[in-house]
Amino acid sequence: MTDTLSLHMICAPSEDVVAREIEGEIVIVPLASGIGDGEDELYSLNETGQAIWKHLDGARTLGAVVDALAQEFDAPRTELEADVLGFAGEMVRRGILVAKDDSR
Amino acid sequence: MTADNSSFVRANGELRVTNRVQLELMRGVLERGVPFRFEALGFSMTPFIQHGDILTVAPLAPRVGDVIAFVQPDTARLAVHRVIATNNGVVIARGDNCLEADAIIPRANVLGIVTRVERDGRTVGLGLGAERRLIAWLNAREWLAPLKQLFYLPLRPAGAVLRRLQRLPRFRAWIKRFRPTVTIEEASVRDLIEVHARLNPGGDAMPRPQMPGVTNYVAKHANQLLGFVQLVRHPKEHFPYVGDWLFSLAVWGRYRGMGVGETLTQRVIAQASAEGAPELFLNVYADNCPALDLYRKLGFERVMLPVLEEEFIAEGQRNGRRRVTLRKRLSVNSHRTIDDG
Repeated sequence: MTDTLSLHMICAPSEDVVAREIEGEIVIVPLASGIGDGEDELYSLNETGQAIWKHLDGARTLGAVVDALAQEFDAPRTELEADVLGFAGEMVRRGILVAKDDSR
Repeated sequence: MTADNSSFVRANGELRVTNRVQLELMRGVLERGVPFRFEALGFSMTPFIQHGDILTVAPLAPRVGDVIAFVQPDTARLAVHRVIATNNGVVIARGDNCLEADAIIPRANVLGIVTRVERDGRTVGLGLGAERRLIAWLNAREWLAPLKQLFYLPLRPAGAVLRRLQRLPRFRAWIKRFRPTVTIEEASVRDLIEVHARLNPGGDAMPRPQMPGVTNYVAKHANQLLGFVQLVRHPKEHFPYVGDWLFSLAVWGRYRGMGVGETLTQRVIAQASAEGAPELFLNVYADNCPALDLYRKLGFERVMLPVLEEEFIAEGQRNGRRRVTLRKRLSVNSHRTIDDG
């Protein structure tokens, strides 16, 4: 599924995770096994991951996320696209994000 | 903004799971109606819940006897204590090992109740079953603490015998040969909570925030804490405490006489030497013969720092017990023989 991600798609946090912004960190707990396990797999995002995560509102396409990031960061668009697709791909693979095609 | 490697997730272990992180995650997870599992730190529920136990908290309504996870109204910190009374939408809780009940806890501050305790990979039932109501009842009437003391009474003679043995040179030489492997490492947040609780029984639940220039070391055997020491680098403004000082050397009772204190002290000497400190100071009670013997053996000598000396003389007159200051001169290369040898 991840290799089919494109900038037309929308990604949103999965129902099976809880994500909280705490002391400047975004910390994510998976609920997959019917329990939020603070002793097992906790994810915390690095700066790049955090910057992208904040724009994943379930309404914007990944392309729109790239647009928003381009306003914030002075970086080549190709680099931003690679980061956003890379991040979304990794998070979908880990079950933290779910992707859907923007069929509108 | 670049991603040098393919991962956007911080490496495992980089996240510091503080009380605040635990609280926020627990709140988020329980709001979804899902139980939350986490490590309990502290001693307020000993012996039913112990430092380092893994607890599961479920979003259930609290009743008397239940162990609840809640937000302390005065500190806004996450705490785990037992309900001893409920009334009109508020809860009164108290740690099984606490001298007093908590302030009144609004129902909205209660996150959920503890449904499972795991220790060393196994589920522990005692304290959560039908007996939980009895424990709450006893604790509400101040009977739990005397009962616990009664329970530990048979251990007292054994402790006295051990303390006598620990003073015998022959026992010390023998036990050193058989002592478990001791590693010295920098203390984690979890270690500091345990050290603080041991050094301040009945005091504040949490250690004070860390001062700059302090390195905390713990002696461990297989995750078990045996002792503690601090290296404090004082700036000029801290006069009369200036330069490198060794503080708070402590070895828990049953591990004394095995050379743990010596290993901890050597670690501090090695670190101060490696950083190029010319000397290392410490204060010790003048009647603490085992400690004085240890420090002299490691090359510490009595010195008089005028301001401290005055303070300690006054202390002696007040309490009948005074401290003295010792100093070890460090050669810059001495750490090589210890670190690399």
